[in-house]
Amino acid sequence: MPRTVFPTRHIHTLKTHNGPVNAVTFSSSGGTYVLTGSSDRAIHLSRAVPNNSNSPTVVETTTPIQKYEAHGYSVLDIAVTADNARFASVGGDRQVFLWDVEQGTTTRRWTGHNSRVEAVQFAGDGDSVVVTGQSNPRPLFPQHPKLTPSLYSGSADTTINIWDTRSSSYKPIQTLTEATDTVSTLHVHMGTYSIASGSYDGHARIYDVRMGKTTVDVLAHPVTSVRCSSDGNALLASTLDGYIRLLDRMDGKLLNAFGGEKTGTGEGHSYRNSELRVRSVFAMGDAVVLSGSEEGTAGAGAFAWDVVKGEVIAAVPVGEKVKAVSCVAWNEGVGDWAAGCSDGAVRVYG
Amino acid sequence: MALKRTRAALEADLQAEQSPYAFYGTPLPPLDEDVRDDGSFVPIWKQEVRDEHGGKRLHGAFTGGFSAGYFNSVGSKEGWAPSTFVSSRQNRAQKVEQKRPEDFMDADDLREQEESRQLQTADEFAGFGSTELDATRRAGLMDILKTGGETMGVKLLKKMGWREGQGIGPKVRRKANLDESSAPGGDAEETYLFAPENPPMVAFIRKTDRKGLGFEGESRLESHNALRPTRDVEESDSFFGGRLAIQGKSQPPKPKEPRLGGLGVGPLNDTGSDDEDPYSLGPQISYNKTIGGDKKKKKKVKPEPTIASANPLLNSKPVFISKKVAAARGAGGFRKCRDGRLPLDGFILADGIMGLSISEKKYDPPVIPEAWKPAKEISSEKRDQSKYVSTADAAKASTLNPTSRAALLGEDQLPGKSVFDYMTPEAREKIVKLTGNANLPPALGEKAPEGYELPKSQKRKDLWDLVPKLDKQIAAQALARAVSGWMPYQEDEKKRARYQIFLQVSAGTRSTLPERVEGSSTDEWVIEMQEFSRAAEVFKPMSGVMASRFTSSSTAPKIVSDAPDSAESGLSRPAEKPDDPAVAAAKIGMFGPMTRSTISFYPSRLLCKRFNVKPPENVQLDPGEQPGAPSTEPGTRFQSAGLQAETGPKQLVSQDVMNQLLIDSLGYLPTADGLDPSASNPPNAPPPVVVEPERNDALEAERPGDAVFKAIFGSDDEDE
Repeated sequence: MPRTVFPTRHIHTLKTHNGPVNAVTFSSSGGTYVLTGSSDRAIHLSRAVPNNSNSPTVVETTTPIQKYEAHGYSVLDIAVTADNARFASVGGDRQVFLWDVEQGTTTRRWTGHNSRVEAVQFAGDGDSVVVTGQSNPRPLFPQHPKLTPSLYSGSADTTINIWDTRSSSYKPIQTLTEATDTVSTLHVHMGTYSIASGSYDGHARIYDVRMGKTTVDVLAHPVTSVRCSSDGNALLASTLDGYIRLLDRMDGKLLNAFGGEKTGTGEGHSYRNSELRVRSVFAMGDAVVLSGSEEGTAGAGAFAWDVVKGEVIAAVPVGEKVKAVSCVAWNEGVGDWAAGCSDGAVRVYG
Repeated sequence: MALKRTRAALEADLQAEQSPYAFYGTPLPPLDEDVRDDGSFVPIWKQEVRDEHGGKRLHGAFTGGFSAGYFNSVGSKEGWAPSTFVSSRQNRAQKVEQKRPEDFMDADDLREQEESRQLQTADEFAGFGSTELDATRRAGLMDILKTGGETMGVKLLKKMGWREGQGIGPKVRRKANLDESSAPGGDAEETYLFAPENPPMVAFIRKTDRKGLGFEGESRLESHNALRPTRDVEESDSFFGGRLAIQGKSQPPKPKEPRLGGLGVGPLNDTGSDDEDPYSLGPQISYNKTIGGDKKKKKKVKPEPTIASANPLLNSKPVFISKKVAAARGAGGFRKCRDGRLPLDGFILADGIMGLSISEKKYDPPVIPEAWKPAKEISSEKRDQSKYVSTADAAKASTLNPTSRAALLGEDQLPGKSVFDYMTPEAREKIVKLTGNANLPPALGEKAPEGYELPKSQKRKDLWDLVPKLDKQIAAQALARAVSGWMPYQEDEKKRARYQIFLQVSAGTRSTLPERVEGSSTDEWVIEMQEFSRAAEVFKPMSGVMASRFTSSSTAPKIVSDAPDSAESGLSRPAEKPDDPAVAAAKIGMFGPMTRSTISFYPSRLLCKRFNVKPPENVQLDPGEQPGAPSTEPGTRFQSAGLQAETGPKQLVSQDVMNQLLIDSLGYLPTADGLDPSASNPPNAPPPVVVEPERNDALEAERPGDAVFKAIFGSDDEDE
């Protein structure tokens, strides 16, 4: 349903995880359910909006509908197929898990990465392909002890692997090795048959399968999130300099930039992204940019900008003690959104 | 019928039989409610043998005769693991439950233990009739009732470091007291800290006899006095320690010493001294029979090692000393202090000083001789004290103002103007804003007075200092690029012109100051120039030599390689270098052609199939490409090799696409100098990179078929 005002009413809190939530994904059509992956090594399937959502107070859910537990390390990203029958998850295991939603078991496990896998996306016709991005196996600095995977610099062979779900081959279809540092984020835009990737080496690369060319955009700062707009003309990229940039995919020009310290809304609440993998997404039919944030002066929060005007239209604090909102997900079907927080809670606003 | 008893009668009977000897009160209820213990008939099969815990021990023959374990099994109620078993995996490092000896005893042992226990008085309270030869014990009733065990006070003292037999108080420094056999004068007189002696308890003995105060009688002969070892004079290291140790600090009784006993002197008291007259009247101590120093010295009061003194603080019994004797002692100057030591050298005891009047006179200032005259004259006599004025007062009283003072000092007079006279109205406004004080003198914007204004060259030099330093060569290169057609700030012609002038100034071809925007402040001007400087750094082309050596990740076609070998990845690294123009451009926010580059991508056929797209031309034309194989690496290598040789249709296609893109974005095609490093190889500049044998990965890799080589290199040979 089309909405004109960005929803900021807190309607649901999912407190099912024990560790920081690294990935939040709505189920594909309708977005009734939400899949959350956390550093507590589990993936939980919960209702995005509780049945009694009309209650004026915030509903709190502590037990998920289904728990998917096979990961031995933190879960870093989740992707759901369009038919909601399967989903893929990656994490510190160096493996890519393909799950059966109904049975709660893994149907495929691909081994080929030699480091943590940071991002996963379904691609191809009928979600026949899984694209995964690997982190830098030789980090110069050890992993940040807390929160979501932290960033480090260094040079290594970091790869994007493309796996085939239809064949039983244990090898990836293709390996893309352009990135010189952790591939932190991926987004597949099937309208333009392209795979967008963002890396900590400060580049956003868009692999156009149909055209056979790769567009490299230098952002000069580690990229933590990339998203293609639904029409495929713009690329939204979050970088660690505290900006979210909207680039024209045609010529790489900057269409708009969101964030920066000046976007505070008066009470010292401003978007920050300087060391953690914070995701950003389009919302409300690409009219709004929605992003998580690191802890500022008044705790972490989620921020929404008007795409055209570049103004902050909503700054939603999630709590004083929350260190970061590492991931956000927008559900176009209902018009609500979820924020995965570092305190293990997933907060749904609608 | 009396043949059958009624139930009530039976119950009453039972009650009586249960406790046949309970004649008064209510008998106790039976031990077991269920079991009749009235001696009534129980058939054999109903009789049970039970152990002391009430457990059934004997079973039928079919069940094994007797029971063991849990239902005749080896397990327990909890299963095979006994309840006492604790897994060390779950409860790691937990203390094992302490076993008592009773846990290991069987019934006989327990019974024996019970029997061996006897009720008796604790030994500690058997104080009466104690054989311990302890004087303090017999001193009073209190001591008799004292327990032999440790009282709480003793425990506390022991916690604090006290040990039995020691006295209480600070440690005392004295010589080591080994034993009598040790050579008296052999060792050096070394002193150590020792715990103080244990003073005997002060006992208040009720006087029941008619003997004189302090009279000891035969108690003096008692063993414990004699047993006391002779000891040296202790040196207490503090006042307190010394005082507490008084009782124990007894001197050894010398046989020749005159007794200072009481009245009744018996034959046992006779110490054999001829000096004593046992029948003399009055307290013996008050009489001195001989007059002389040495005799008197001997007569000094010795502390008595007795328990007779009622006041423990007193060294000795109070004795009467006549004034005469005291005076004589004072004259001798050998009187000892209270602690038994001689006063320090040059001091005498205060008692010895007779009157205060004498001492007062003693400390009078010396009398100045009448004839004495000081050598110095007092200078203050010269000065007129009444006319003295402090500096501050003088300053207040002074009528001089700065002008007159300057005249006095011979300084040139400054123009009598304030700072505001030289300020521009804007500067004044600034100050007003900053201070919030609007009541400031008006700014007149005057020029500096003649002779004080900065020389013009100096002023310009200051401005020149503000111009950011840009390397001449960089400026020249940037200029060269500008000449060849490409320059930043295309959208702002004026800014572009200013940028050009700035470059010219930096290159040294122009000596005037860089222009500034009309009406802009110096700060804005400086900021703009800094921006220009950065832009020039970004847009300077690589020098030819360097460009041939290195490829940059943003110079598109050269880097086309998926090869993961170290040489290639090392070459693709310059993207991280801060001087990479693309990164620099991105950092200053100039997204667009500078930060955009396009490289070829060779999706595998399977990927294209999965994406449901027709494979792009470069993939289709790649003969080395195997469908389904994940290796795009050989293909890409060949592509790049072909690109460098400027052959191959795919290169042309992508070049066209790129050019088109550039034209779209820039409005024109970048020219030879490669103003846009993101653009592909310029058409009129042959690429400096040639296929180097040591870098030809194609040779090192698996050798493809001849058709591959022909397809790539065949046309080359023909062209050349």
